Amino acid sequence: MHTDARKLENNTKIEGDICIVGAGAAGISMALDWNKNGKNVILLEGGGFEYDNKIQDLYSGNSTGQRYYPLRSCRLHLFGGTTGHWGGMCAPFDPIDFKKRSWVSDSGWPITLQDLVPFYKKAQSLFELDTYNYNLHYWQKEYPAITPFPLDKDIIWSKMWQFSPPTRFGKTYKETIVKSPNIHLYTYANLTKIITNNTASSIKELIVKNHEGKTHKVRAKKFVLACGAIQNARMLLASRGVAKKGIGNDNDVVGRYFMEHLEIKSAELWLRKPISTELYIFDYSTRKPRAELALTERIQEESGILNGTASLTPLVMAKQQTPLIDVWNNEDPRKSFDKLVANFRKSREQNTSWQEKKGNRAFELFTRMEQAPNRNSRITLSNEKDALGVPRPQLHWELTHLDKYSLRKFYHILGLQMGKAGIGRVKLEEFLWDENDNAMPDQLGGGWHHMGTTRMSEDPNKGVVDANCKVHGISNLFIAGSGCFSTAGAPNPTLTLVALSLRLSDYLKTS
Amino acid sequence: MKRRNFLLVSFFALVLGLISLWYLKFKSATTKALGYPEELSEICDRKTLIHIGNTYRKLTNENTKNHLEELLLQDAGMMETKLKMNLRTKTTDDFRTGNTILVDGWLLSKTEARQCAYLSMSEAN
Ligand SMILES: Cc1cc2nc3c(=O)[nH]c(=O)nc-3n(C[C@H](O)[C@H](O)[C@H](O)COP(=O)(O)OP(=O)(O)OC[C@H]3O[C@@H](n4cnc5c(N)ncnc54)[C@H](O)[C@@H]3O)c2cc1C
Repeated sequence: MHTDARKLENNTKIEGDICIVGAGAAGISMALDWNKNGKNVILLEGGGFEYDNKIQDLYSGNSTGQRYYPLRSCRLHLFGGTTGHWGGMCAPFDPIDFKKRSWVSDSGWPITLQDLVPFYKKAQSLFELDTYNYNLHYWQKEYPAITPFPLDKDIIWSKMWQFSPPTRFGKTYKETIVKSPNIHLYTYANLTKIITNNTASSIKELIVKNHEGKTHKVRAKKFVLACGAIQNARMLLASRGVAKKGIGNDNDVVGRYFMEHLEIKSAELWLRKPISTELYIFDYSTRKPRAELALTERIQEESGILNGTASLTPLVMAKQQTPLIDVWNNEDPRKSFDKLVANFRKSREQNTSWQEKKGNRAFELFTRMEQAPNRNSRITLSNEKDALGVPRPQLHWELTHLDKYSLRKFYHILGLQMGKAGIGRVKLEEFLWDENDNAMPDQLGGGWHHMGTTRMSEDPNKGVVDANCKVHGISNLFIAGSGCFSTAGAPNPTLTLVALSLRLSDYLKTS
Repeated sequence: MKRRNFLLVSFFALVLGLISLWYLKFKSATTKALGYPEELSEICDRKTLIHIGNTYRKLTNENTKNHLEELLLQDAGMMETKLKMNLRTKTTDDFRTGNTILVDGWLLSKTEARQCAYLSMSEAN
């Protein structure tokens, strides 16, 4: 079922068993999991089925600290959420990502990779991916030409990725949701405030508004926030009432530990002789799985560094590309997206044939690395309000010494291994030359991956949600999405955040 | 007698000449090997190698040819083929043991960086 909340009578009361707020990757995945199960599911979406500038403007905000993309355009505010712009790169987290690491403060999840595996398997199909198998040997059977570099396996491994078409959730799942007998989708239903009971121990109702001046109330037994990591924290912080500091924020953790992936051109790899790089190069035409170079757990531990990967792009192509942070700078997400596509197209034109790519001996090494959890990297509220009266978000993106150290060390190790194996030499980018320089350059981008603002921890002083994604101290409020990540892991987050949301869904069904 | 002396002098002169010739050839082969970072030469052109060499010399105190020669020949042997092979092994060992240096962003084995420095000095002279 679908209702445009603008057309409802003012002050309508909406009721159901479970209310999911936000119809992006997390919200739609959860809703689909409840399809036809007899429960009355309310799915609230702030936007409509098409892009609407007024709605998108609700996402505007400021940022300080490390340079970042405009908050207005780095997410999409409509049915389907940011999957309308995402690239479809998928890989599960590594076992180490969930572990407590003595050299990474505030690391460690209360769950393990194994807890997520059944849900990763389920998530694969939502992204129209192949089987849940990220093992190189498995893919070598399918594509015998993909061979890893002859590097020391105790030190470097090839982490496999799969590529979603990319699935645009708004298009792909609209019909199923709208035709579902038990999912009731309300578009133009923007959550503006969460109301608790007198003791702030449970959620009583939600207030939703739209630009037509209509206000509605939503009641359910259980509520799930699935508005994205920045927006979820913003909603909790903005819902001040009985809970003076915002909902779930007794310990001043909501909004803190904002994390992104550190994405930047970091080095060049020059091969002595042409060797097969097919495993590592992204093939635009087939989108077949490819690998990135990663360091083993042991080496990460020995070196005291974060988890990350390096991808290879032929230098002739990479040289044509402008850093993403300089490309995605328009406040209008559609314009930024067009610029991004043009940026990739420009470089693709440089190297059309696969054969030519094979002959390349020089490659750009591009990093994707987790950011160390940092309390000071955070979302707060600004004094300015949006058109629906909700304080705008303020991002302070702050990096630490460990982030820069890890980046430099990663390429140092890679350089040593390439030399030792006689494969070639690594040339580091200038920002990594000086060991005493802890600053990150302005060219550093993120992957538009917002994580950690409502992080998972069994300790309410360190996290907002528990191992089941339930907000500490509140009996019926849950969070779905990458805001729950305790650490950022090396891979892009969407596969993992959907797996985590499906796990939450499973928990809600059985609890 | 005179004829005998003449023959003797000529013989010694010839031997000396041959030794000098051999030495010159040996010397130039050694110089060539010392100034030829084999693996890096497959990646960088001569100009870049010399640039790396100049930068290396500025970064370190290894500023004379003799000193560089001494360092490069340590445990490397003198014969041309053996020298080349040993320099190659030393280069790989440097990467294994972390005996490396960052020059202009290149993560290089100390041995090959020294070879670049040696080359840059040979060019300068
Ligand atoms: C250019 C780009 C490329 C990307 N590429 C990749 C990639 O290759 N791989 C990867 O893993 N990730 C990628 N991402 C990130 C990916 O898009 C996000 O991780 C993912 O969409 C997050 O899912 P979500 O459901 O948490 O949030 P969203 O998808 O952003 O959905 C949030 C939903 O909540 C709704 N909403 C917000 N506020 C309210 C409110 N107050 N009331 C009601 N509804 C509300 C929004 O309209 C939206 O529908 C990319 C992102 C961008 C921008």
